[in-house]
Amino acid sequence: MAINLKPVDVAVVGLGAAGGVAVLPLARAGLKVAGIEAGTWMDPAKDFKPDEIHNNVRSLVTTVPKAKQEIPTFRTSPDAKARQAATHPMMNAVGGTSIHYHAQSWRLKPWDFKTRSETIKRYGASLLPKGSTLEDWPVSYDELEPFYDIVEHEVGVSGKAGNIQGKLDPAGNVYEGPRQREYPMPALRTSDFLDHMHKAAVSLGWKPFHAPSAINSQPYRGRPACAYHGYCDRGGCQIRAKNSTCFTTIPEAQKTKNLTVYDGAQVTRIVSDDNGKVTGVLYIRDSKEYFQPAKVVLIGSYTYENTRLLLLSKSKAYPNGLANNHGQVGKHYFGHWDAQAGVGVTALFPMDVNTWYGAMLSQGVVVDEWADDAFDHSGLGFIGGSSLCTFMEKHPIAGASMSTFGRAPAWGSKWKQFVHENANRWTGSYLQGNSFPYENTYLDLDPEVKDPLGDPVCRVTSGPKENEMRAAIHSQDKMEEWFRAAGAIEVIKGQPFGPALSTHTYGGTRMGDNPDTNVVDRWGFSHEAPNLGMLGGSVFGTSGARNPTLTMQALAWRTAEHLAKNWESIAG
Amino acid sequence: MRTWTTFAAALALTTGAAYAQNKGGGGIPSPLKITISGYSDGGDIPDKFTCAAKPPGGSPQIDWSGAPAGTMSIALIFHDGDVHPGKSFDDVTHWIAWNIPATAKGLPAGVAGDADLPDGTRQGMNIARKNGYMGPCPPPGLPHHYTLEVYALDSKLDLPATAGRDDLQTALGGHILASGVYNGVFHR
Amino acid sequence: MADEITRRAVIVSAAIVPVAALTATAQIPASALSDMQLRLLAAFTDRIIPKDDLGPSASESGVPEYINRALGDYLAGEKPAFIEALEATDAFARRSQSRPFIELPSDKQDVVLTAMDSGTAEGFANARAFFNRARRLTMEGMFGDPYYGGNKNFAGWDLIRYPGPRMATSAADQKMGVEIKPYHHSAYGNGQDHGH
Repeated sequence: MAINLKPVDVAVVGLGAAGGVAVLPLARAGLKVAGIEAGTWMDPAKDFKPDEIHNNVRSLVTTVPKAKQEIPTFRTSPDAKARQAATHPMMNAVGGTSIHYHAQSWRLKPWDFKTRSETIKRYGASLLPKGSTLEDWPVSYDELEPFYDIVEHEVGVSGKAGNIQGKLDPAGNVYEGPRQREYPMPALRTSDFLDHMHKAAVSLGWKPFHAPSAINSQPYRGRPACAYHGYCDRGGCQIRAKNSTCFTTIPEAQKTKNLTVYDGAQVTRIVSDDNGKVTGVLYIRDSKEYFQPAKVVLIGSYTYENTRLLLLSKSKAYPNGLANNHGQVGKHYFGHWDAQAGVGVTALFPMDVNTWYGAMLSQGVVVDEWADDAFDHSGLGFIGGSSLCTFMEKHPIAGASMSTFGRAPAWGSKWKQFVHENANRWTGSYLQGNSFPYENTYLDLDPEVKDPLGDPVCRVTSGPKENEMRAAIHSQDKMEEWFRAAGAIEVIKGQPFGPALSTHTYGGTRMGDNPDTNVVDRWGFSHEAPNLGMLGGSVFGTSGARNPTLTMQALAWRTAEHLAKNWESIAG
Repeated sequence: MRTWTTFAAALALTTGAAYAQNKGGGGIPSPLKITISGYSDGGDIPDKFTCAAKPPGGSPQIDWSGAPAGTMSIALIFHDGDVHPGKSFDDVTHWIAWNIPATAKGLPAGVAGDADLPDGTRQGMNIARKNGYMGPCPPPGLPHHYTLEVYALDSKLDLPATAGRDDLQTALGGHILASGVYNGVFHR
Repeated sequence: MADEITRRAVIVSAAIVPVAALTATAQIPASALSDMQLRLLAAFTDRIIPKDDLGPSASESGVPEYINRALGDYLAGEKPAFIEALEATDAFARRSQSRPFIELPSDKQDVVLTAMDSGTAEGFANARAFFNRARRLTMEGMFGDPYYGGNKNFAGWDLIRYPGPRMATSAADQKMGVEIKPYHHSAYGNGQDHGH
């Protein structure tokens, strides 16, 4: 028998990158918010270490084992049996993965929001990826711009603008959408290697720029500047220079006294009444079950869990899962395939690059020439492409585990000689591709594998994506060109091995005006259950050639602000 | 009875208002260039500025440049980023000072531990609840890094000498024209 | 007198700062491997990272210690399979080279390991997978933080010229064309520190 709690205005499920941002405008508006998070608070001094085994080998930057015990199963065709993946970097904590992510903090391009119509206009419908369910987003870049700006300031993002109200600045990204003003802080420090890659890109006639990141390049709002210690990748920031939501928007929201955080609380079901309205959430905390009544529920528990929670929350009004009477929950799922499934490009240089330290991809030089629709795709047979990213930060085990590029055996004295000379001479690159939703890729519940509570885990069904494969190979060639222009003596292009679980995941509760093909409306609220909102990558219709976090945070702020301004009509 | 107008008004009043950090030209606070005599940025702090010296060392000579037009005062914070007493998010404050004259281009070594200096500089409370500089003093073994932050402000600050780091941090908000950072590491 | 008061205040303030509740090295579990198995593991890993002009071998650098500890706690679930494969390595050496692995000259040990690496060695559940796993754990032990038992005296980091973790780095530490001085500190300090 669940213990009934005092009702709140809004229950926010998940206090990661998205939920952690949504609570701030809600709390400032005077709404009473329960922030319910399966993980707990982390202590920078005790939990964060410059230790590769702790962070990267054993993935210990997390607080409870929940995410590791519900890793999705995966299959590449509807006829195959899905198998559970061995690992996934999902973690649970107050602040969620914004604690150990690379903090890259991008805006999507205007093109990303209307890929379908722009492709038809420029190339004709025949170039739309075969089998894709691509739709234009119901919001434009211009509509989201003010929220990008707010979040960049509230969270703290460093970068150099390339387009301020139409005025281009080559020191920034000239391909970006127009922004109202400069970033709150300048881009993170450059380095010799980044300058070297920057020069090489310029020599090719490309327009490189420094990556924006949610890391302080200067002291910001009482938190120190980055010290570039080089354990940012899957590591927490001991000095809070990485702007995880547990250091920024969540404590800000707590200051208003309108947010109460319930940590160590695992939400198991969203409850709805016979009229189809959600009435609250069930959660387990300290081995007891609680029912938190709420006038509105926002779910920001990561893409897989967002779909899973809805499908598990069946009721009389929703026999196929909450908000799923149109059968769209789980549909239009996709991930950043090429960045995560073998398509890396690695290079060996004839000199020491000294990239050991730094702030990972946040301290990086990027080229957008070969992403989105920045180049003419006529005759290429695909749309989209990849951003090409170079970076700092290399850890010693990973450094020593380098490819020998066919120049030495993999063990023994000759190997020792090789890594002695070359561990400080190689680097990888990060290719992030424009990814799209398809008919053949969706989420549902696994028929066999269960989590420790006995609930089925999420199942990912996927299939071939010719468009993204072709785009990935094209991008690899460009990355090789860049490395060679920079003087690399060896370049290895990874072999794409097709779809896999991804850290950048999208869809399952897609946003769109049409309830027959989308789960939530243009504000993020369910077409079927008007007081249910979804936060995170699960609402995206395209990925962009970049990381999702800042965009999901801007959308989360927008959803929350819309809720506060339209409280009566949404809460009922 | 809460209506959307109430919420919208509340939102407009609070969004970002407390943290209008950027002043002058709508731009980003530009970096101040800082040098400390005795160690390089990110380098090892010599014993003479720390508790390893007997008696414990005083402050190093600090020089800065790049304070923009309109600077009315300089403030500094010197802190140990690697320790968080109790379960708080704050780290260890070794030295805070404000109302350093705008014309100053630095501080000499060995600044006295008085609350008020002849040139108008005021020093607040460090973690030992004393005014002035407290040198690095980590537990033996683990190297800590010590960050000096220098701020050029558009006004003087009205804070008592009993003010601590939080008070200073709050007072800085909205007045920062430029800032700079310089790190050193130390262990015993 | 004033100096004494100041000094006491500093000591008091140091006491206010909580000393990290970390032991010099990680909590050491009871040995997962027997003495014989440890000797075998040492000989095995010493072929992956042999002693030579560039520096000490894997076993001199604590790699078997790292693996032993890991099998005792974090990788406890893997221990039975690992021991089985380790024993199979010795059995394969006896069959194919007529002597126990640890008694073979190093070039013959390499023949045994090469057969495992290429998947032609018999008597294993999966020779290739085990070889790769052992090689992977050797890398972790050699190049991981000394806190976990390996990388003794920072031999691994020195080999690949990795200067070591530091809580703050400057632009000078990210320059090319300069040799960055090694900073011999474990992320956990004490016990492994060489100081300066």
